[in-house]
Amino acid sequence: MMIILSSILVYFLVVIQYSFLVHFTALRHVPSLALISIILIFLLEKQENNLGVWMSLIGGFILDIFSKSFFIGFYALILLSVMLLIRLVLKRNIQFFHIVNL
Amino acid sequence: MMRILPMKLAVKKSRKRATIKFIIVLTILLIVLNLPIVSNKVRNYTYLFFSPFQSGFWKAGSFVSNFLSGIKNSSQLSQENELLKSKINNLIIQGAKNFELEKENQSLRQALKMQDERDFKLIFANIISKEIDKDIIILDRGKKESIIKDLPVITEEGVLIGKVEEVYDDFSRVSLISEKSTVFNVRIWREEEGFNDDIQGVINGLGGLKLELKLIPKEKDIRDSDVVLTSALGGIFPEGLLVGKTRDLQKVDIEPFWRIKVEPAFNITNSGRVFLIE
Repeated sequence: MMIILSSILVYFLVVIQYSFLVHFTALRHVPSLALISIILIFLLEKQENNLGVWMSLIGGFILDIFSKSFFIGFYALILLSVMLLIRLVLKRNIQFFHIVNL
Repeated sequence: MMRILPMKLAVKKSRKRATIKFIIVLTILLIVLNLPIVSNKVRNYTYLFFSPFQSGFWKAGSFVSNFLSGIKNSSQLSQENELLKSKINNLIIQGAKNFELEKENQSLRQALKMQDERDFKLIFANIISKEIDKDIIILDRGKKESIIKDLPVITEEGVLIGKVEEVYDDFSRVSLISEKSTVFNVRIWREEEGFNDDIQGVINGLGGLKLELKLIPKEKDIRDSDVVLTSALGGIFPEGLLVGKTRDLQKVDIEPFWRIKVEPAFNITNSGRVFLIE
């Protein structure tokens, strides 16, 4: 259920990003809302959930289609690596926190 | 304790197997998706799925951005209005003269049995999105509407926007003239003097909706607000399409050419409606 809801959220963020925000040229650099939201999902999800994996694949795929990257799957692979990196860093932080608490 | 260890090992093994399976499936999926025939179909169907919402958001964005820019420029509007009124009067006079000239031109062409070179066939299209990091837009017309690669794209006012870079079944990807890889020949036109055949240059896209005019020797008389029009020399675009106006002219001692920025005349947020020249 969370995967479907998150995918719909990313879908609408991509549409807003590429069809609505691009009109405001004064902003010069339009923030990549989809990318930010996916990274937020990585940060907020529980370690044992696979939501991050699904979001990196679905979100990455949508971003790949819209931004004409080097190949389809480029963003998906980058997001997958970011997710793994965040999990690794978070795990280390949790261990460090436990040590301090002891 | 002795029983827990083999269980942990089994769980670890099954996780390893699942990870390997996931990597293999992902690799196969990536290879299949990147096959040219498949990738074009995938892009086309994704755009089809997104397009109803995209066109709605595009119109909303266009409306809000025009409304905000109207508020921002309200102080300049009265001055601009006066200037435009005087220009309209001049254009009416010019139009009357042109009407006579066109009639004369047509009769001469008929006499010579020549076809009008500017008789373009236009295909109407809507912009549905723009890439945020590149000067590329997506149009809702594709192969089904006989769109082919390299077709020039203009606005309703006849201002050059770019050319078709890639075509899918129902959509096409257009590279704007400000995209970094774009280079084409142009001519300079001055309101009072008309075409100056001596001044021809090359437009280079800088990205971020910016243009640069290159290869104009320093000895040439070029001024701020000179009109830049396409030239048929490169064979990329038809002759006489409006590109923009010269701005920020600089002469650098060590360089033999002018450094000129060009303010593009197109504004994709205005309406979102464009035409492809067949």
